[in-house]
Amino acid sequence: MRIRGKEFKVTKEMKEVIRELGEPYAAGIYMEFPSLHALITSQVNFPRVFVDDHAEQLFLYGRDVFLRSIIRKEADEGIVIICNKRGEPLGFGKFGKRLIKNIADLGMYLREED
Amino acid sequence: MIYNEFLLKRYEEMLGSRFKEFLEASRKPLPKYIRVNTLRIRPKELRRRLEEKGFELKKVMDYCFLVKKAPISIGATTEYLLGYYFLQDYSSLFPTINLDPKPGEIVWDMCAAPGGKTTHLAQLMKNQGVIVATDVRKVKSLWYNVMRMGVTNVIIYQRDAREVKYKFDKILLDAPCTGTGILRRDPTRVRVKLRDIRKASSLQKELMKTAYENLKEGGTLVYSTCSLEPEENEEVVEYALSLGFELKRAIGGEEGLLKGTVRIWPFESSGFFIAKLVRPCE
Repeated sequence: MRIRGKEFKVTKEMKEVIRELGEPYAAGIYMEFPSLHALITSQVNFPRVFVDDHAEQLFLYGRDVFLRSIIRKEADEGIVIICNKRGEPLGFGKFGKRLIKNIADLGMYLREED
Repeated sequence: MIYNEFLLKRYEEMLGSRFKEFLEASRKPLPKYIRVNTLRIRPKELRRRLEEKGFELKKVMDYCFLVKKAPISIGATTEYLLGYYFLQDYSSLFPTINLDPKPGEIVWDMCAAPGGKTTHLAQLMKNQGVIVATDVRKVKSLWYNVMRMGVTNVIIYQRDAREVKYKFDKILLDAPCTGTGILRRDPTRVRVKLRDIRKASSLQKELMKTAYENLKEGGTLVYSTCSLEPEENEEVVEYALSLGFELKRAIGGEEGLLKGTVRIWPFESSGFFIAKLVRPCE
């Protein structure tokens, strides 16, 4: 469903309420790439790259991932989901020559609110 | 002292012999609590992970811990960013617990920002059903918290609750108030005077009327504030009874000045008032 020009995934019940109450600010799951909401609710499907603890912390502060921090990877190029060593998704990245560029990470919730 | 003379005089009258204990508590910083987001992690697992990082936690209920020791800010861990917990006072869990929302119901959180109670509602509803969350301000914070906690059943409106027309199964009215129960957390509110209390009470009654009009027959409303003032609490509930609501017994603390209501004094957590009301079937 489009809300304020953006894509959201909503249930049938939610659609019925929205029909009565009008266009909301947001609803359901935000689906526009690179949505962290879609990421943590398992709505996206990209190869994963697993990183060490140090890279996890840096990535959550908005930094890129150096290739030497990678523990395991499912791809060598393109857009990937950055996961910590436990496999928990931390955000999105894009492979470059020497690093994986940070596209979006969970730390954005804190940084943007500040 | 964070309370002005006007407020202290009121609390002395209400608390009697416990007033001294109240004064002592008010000089200490308010303890910090976290609510585990059981949509994302089991409490036991979160506790283990935070304790590995040097946090010391004490369980106060199934999914709530008191933070006794924090080597780093409790709002800056990976687990926080992953939405595994919410920083939320123990007492502020009870409005949602009293509402007892079920999966599949359509629930309205009338004054929802920044989303502590909204995400708690979603947790108890297991992300099923619908929560309509309205507020006139801070909806971005509300939406960020909803997303961070992995909540998927919320519809957010940046709208004055008095403009909403719908019939809900359950309503949470955690009303805007003078906040005298959270002065230890938010000392910007220290200058509260009688006219502020009167103004808040008037708005709270308007919101109560809106809640009555938007609640299904047989539906439940929980009214709460983080104020200690009777004009914002028991007086608003008396107004609710005049509209046709019936009062049910609430849980979570000592009985308020009106039988069946709950009053939590800010000794170990924020001060809160809670009333559970039902709109009878005609």
